[in-house]
Amino acid sequence: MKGTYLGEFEELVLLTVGALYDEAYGVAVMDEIKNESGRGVNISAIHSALRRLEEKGFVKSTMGGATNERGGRRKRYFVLTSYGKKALDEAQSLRMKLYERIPNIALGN
Amino acid sequence: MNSRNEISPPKWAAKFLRLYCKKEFIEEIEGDIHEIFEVNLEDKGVAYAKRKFTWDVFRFLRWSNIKRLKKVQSNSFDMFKNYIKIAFRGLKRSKLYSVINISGLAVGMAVFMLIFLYVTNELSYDKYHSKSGQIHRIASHLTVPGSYFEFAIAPPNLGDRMVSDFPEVLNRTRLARFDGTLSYGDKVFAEKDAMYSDPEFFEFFDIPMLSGDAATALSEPFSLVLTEKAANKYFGSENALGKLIKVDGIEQPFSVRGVMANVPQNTHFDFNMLVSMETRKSQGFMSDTGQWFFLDYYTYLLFPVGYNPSELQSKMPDFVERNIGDAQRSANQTYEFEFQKLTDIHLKSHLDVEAKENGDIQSVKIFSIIAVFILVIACVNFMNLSISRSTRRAKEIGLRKVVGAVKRQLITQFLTESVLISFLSFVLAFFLVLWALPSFNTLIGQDLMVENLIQGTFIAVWPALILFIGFLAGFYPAIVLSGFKPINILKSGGASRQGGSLLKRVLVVFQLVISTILIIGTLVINRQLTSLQNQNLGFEKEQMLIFNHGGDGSIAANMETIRSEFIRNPQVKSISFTRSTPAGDNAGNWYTEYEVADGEMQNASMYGFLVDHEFARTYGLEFLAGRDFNRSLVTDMDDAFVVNESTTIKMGLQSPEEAIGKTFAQFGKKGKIIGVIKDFNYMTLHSAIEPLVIQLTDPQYLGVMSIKLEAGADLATIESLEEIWEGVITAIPFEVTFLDQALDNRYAAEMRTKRLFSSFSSLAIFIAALGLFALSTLSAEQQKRSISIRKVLGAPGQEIALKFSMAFLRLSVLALMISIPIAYLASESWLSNFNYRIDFDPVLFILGGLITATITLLTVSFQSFKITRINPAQNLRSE
Repeated sequence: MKGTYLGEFEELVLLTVGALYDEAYGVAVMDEIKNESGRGVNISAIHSALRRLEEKGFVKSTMGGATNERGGRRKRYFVLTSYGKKALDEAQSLRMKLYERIPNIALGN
Repeated sequence: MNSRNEISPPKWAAKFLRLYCKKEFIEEIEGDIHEIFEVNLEDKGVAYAKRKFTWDVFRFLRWSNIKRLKKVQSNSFDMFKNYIKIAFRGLKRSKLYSVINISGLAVGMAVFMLIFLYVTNELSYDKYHSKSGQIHRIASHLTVPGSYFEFAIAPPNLGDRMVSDFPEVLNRTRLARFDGTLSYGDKVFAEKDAMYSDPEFFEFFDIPMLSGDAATALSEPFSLVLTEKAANKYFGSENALGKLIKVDGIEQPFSVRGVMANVPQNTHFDFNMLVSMETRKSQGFMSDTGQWFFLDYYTYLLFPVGYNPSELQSKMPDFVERNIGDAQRSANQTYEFEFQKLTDIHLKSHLDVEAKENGDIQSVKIFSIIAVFILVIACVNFMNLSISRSTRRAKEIGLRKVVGAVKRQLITQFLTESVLISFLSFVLAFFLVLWALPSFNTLIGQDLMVENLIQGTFIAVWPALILFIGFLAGFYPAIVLSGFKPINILKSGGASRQGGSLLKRVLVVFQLVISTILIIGTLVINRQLTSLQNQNLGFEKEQMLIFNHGGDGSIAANMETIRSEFIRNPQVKSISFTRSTPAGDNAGNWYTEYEVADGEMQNASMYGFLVDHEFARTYGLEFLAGRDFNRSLVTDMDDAFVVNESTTIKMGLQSPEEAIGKTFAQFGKKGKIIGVIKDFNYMTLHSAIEPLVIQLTDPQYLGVMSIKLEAGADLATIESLEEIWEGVITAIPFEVTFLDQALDNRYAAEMRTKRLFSSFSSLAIFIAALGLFALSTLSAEQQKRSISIRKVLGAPGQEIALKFSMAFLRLSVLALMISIPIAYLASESWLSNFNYRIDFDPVLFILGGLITATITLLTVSFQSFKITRINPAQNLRSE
């Protein structure tokens, strides 16, 4: 298994996979990121990120059934593993801990 | 909905995806980009969707998605990897050999690359113009009584006449030198790099206009087009367009009508601004009639594509007769015109009054040869070391053959190794070039850039070079080694046979021959140039300041003030105002009449100096007969001439004394010869001294000031003179040069050749010595056993060492004998370019041979000394 470091973009993809629950496949993740963050990403970048996340054990994937769309190709669905959920939790709590330490006064602007 | 099913993504992109993509990913990738394609088809149209699909296919072209090499090829691929691994191990095992091999080859390649840069730059002159093949320059060959000249310039209206007379001459443009002191606000510059030009300039030459209109910028009088550099000099960051520049002595200001790119360095002319030719016309020069003997204009003609101007050449005599015939007869001068190809001017044209110092096809040839020589020396090292080491690898080869390697594979292995070494050397060479380029540029006085190495078609040269050197060096060992019979090698426990020893000796001799030729060449060049510089020129050049102020009304009026103020400084010996100096190649050449021995007049063209009374005294010229100009004799100004000794010989006189009192006329003055001076060199030493006539002239024509200083003068002297100058003349800055430096500058090209030749010869010898060192090391090692046996049998150490060294010394003597005749022929052909040349001196050749022999001996002696210390017990123990 490769290192467990979670990059900024990887974290975004991982969160999106979690949010989409059992509807997470390449194009859906791309569209969701576009809708939620306004960030346009090429599909090949999504694929690379998903594959890295799978190698790190944060997500796992299964092939779906054949469809009429997509020229008849199947979709690869990704779901969050519990290890992936834990990684997200850790990232979140680290963020909160640091966030709460920001003094609650008017910031110099 | 219908259209969606009918339109499919671009087929070739889909195929390409299937070609490169790993099988396990293909379905999901195809699916996703299909889905995106379908959505885009609906929202953004067919074209966009197709484009996006193709784009996506390329975006998926990532390392992790690409198929790996199939197993089918894996064996030869793995063997290849194995060869490289073995090669690296071999390099690591024998470090001395690897270092010498790679560094020697790298130095050789680096020199080759540097010279390649230089040569390709020399050959690139003026090729960048899109019409370069159609443009020719007119050269004027002028025959006058007693003399013949070849000028790069032509009469003013020749080009126009040719355009109107010959339909094949499509157009013409002219350039002529412009001199003046220009000012903008408080900025004053003495411009020496400006040219008059016709508006057609921009149609002929591809130097782009950055602002302003190329078609009209030069069509009116008093218009200027500045180069970017000049625009910065005058206006800084301000917009130059429309600004007015004042020229000293001309009422009307000049307006800047355009800014052009700087003239590329590989152009045979250079200037920092163009002044409209109309300006010159409006000043009354270049009237349509006559003026056939005012040579001032570089004239370029445009011919149709593919036209060969030699056809026109045959029509020229008629043309000359029609237009200039009468003028020629009355002036007793005859023209012939020649057309020079634009692209040949830089390397092949060496006429009088070239627009810029030209290069020299000979240097290009010399250095191309040196580049190849050095590369060959380095390659020979490489070959020799490979051959010498090959016997050591016999066991490896034997084993490879036993386990089934066929000859072809072994050849591949050795070639792989040598190409690898050649590649490593190339990488090192590239860094060497990066490091050495600035000093190389200083050496050759140019501004070459490393980018030029990898531009355009040259990029293919380097892989070819790597492969060529690799194959050249690896070829022989590969053939010989792969032919070994495994049974012989493995049975005897190592090949005792010395591989390719004859070839090796031939190669060493070859190397030494090249080195010796280069050493002798260096010695000859050095001797010749030193003797040129130390040549007694016949006048005093030390402690002489030259100030080219250009001649100006304000200076002429104040000349005597300046002289008397300057002379008050105890460090100033004397001052002379002249029009030309002995350093300048700028003597006038004028129609001259002289009285021959029997009393009648003859005419010829002779060089002339216009000077003041102090000239001969300031330059320490020696009088053979008669007297110098005398201030108290007013008539000297109107009718006195001083001539040099060569003139009296030309006049057919027996002695200088006979010349005194002879009638003489030049440059609008008629009078008598009052003195004869000893010949002094007022041209470069390439040519013999020609007749020279010296006469007094009105101060306003004397634009050069020569200041002879006392021996103790220093910078403070010059500064105090500058102060005096600035107190009298404000418009022209006091810019002086030393005469001896100016003289040396005339030999700049030769000095460059000398420096380059010495550096490259040293490198060649260094590389050859490196190879010899490695070779002697290997040879000593291979002879260890035989030497040990000799020692055991009682041979003294010195004798063995001598025998060992003699083997190499013999080769260097043989090399000397071969190289002397070649070096002799080469140096004679080089020396024939000089009028003052050193004689053939066998000492130089013997010295050259001695240097090679000494270097050989010193290189080898390290090993022969080691041999004397060999302990036989250690080397024979295992027998």
